[in-house]
Amino acid sequence: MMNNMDMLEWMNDLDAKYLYEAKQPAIQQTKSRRRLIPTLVAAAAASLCLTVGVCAYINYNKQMVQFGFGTLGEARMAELVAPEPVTYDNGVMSVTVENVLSDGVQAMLLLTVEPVDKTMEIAYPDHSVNEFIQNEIVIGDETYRSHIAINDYWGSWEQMDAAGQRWYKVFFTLPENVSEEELANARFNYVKEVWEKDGETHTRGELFDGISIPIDMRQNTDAIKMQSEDGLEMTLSGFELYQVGYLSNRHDWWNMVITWKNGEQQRITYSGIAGSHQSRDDDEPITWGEFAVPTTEQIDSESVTGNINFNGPEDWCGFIDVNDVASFQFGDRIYYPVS
Amino acid sequence: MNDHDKELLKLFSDRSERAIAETEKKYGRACHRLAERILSSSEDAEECVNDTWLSAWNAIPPETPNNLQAYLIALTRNHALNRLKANNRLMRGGGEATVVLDELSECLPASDSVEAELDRRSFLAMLERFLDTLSHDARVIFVRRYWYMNSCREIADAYQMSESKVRVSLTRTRRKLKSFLEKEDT
Repeated sequence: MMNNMDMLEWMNDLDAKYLYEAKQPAIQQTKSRRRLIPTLVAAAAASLCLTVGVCAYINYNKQMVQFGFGTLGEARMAELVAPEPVTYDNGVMSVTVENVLSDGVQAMLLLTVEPVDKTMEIAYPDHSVNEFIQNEIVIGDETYRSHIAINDYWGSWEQMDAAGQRWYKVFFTLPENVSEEELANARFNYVKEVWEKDGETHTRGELFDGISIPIDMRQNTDAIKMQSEDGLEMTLSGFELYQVGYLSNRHDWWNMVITWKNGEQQRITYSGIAGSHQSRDDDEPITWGEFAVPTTEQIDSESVTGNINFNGPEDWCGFIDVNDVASFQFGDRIYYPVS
Repeated sequence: MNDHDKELLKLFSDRSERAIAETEKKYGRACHRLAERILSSSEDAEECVNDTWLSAWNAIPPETPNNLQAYLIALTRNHALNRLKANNRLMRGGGEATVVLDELSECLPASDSVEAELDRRSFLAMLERFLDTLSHDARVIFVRRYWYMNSCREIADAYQMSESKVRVSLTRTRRKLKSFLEKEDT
């Protein structure tokens, strides 16, 4: 059933002639006949250009849909690592751990959530996921913040469920100098945060508060060394690429293409950027925008590992089977597996 | 297409890193303004505009938009609306998009009509037929408000009319649209 949001969105494809007409200052249409004619000629020409442009845009959108929900890459998806999904709930919300992947440098948690009462609206007290879900990871005696890289909460629970979008991913860069045992016995906790601002008390993360999940963050997925023709190296795993001391920029992140061993190519998108110096409390030693660039001189840039998390090539839960990768284009460079 | 846009498209097709920076320089402000109008957050608008550059980067080539500005603006509007949904800000109040959405609710056909069958394409076709029935002024006010998300004040300033006249025009047009959609559907 159409709703007001649909109306607003569907209008995006409105014929360009209406858009052009609306942007013309009213005064030009009545000022004088001499100016009216060139204005109309220009309007006709621009309208044609706009129409073609918008048509191109519509075609582009169709391609995106096909890309997002295609099946081409499914055969290349590695098997899920978690033996079976495990569900935790606090009586209000239920969280299922679908998968925990670790390549020894970073871990990816794939989670789905749903209200215990299915008639509950997904409209949580505060609507941005990052505001209503707060979480932390405990390894040994240390507590670390983690970030949610993928999320999409936009409608009622029924709408979300029907669209299959009740999932999200959490990426976490493993701290250095922790033992295998500590990694094996880590915990992922949802927490409630309460703070005061301008004399008012604010709360977030309340719905999930109390859910605590044991996770094993020891390496359980393959990672392969890749090398470019000019000698740069990086490591590619099922859900990210990373490199010590590597600097890149956003243009590289936007230009990632896998060539599979059968010769097919697939563009993939990134879903998050991280650095090896995990943020603790409010400390942010790595800049987000420059990818693994330390913000303080105390950190040696050569010791920093930059991670780029990516979506699977086709599907949200997919991750790459690195053993089937012939080459990986990152920015202008092409990297090949090092045998 | 002007020469500058041709140069920009060439940078895209050459996969030059300058493509984004140059496009941002020329169209960043317009895209940001539209996104901010929809999202009511400069920070969100900034991210939305970055998404626009990413989409353009991924699409060009093979796409070669004849009007780069229109193409980027449409991409921005799309990303902003998606982000609006993702943030679920609809219930937060505030922001032009929230008001616009409330207003559009008035146009929705009654639930006992067959509007459940309406899809994107048929709605668009109906809307364009409807727009053709309107006077010039009513039409441009409608498009300014619900496509470009201009505030009533901005529309009034652009057309040198009072804000109340804009509001009255919009109210009448919404009523007509509702009636039009119900009639067309049956």
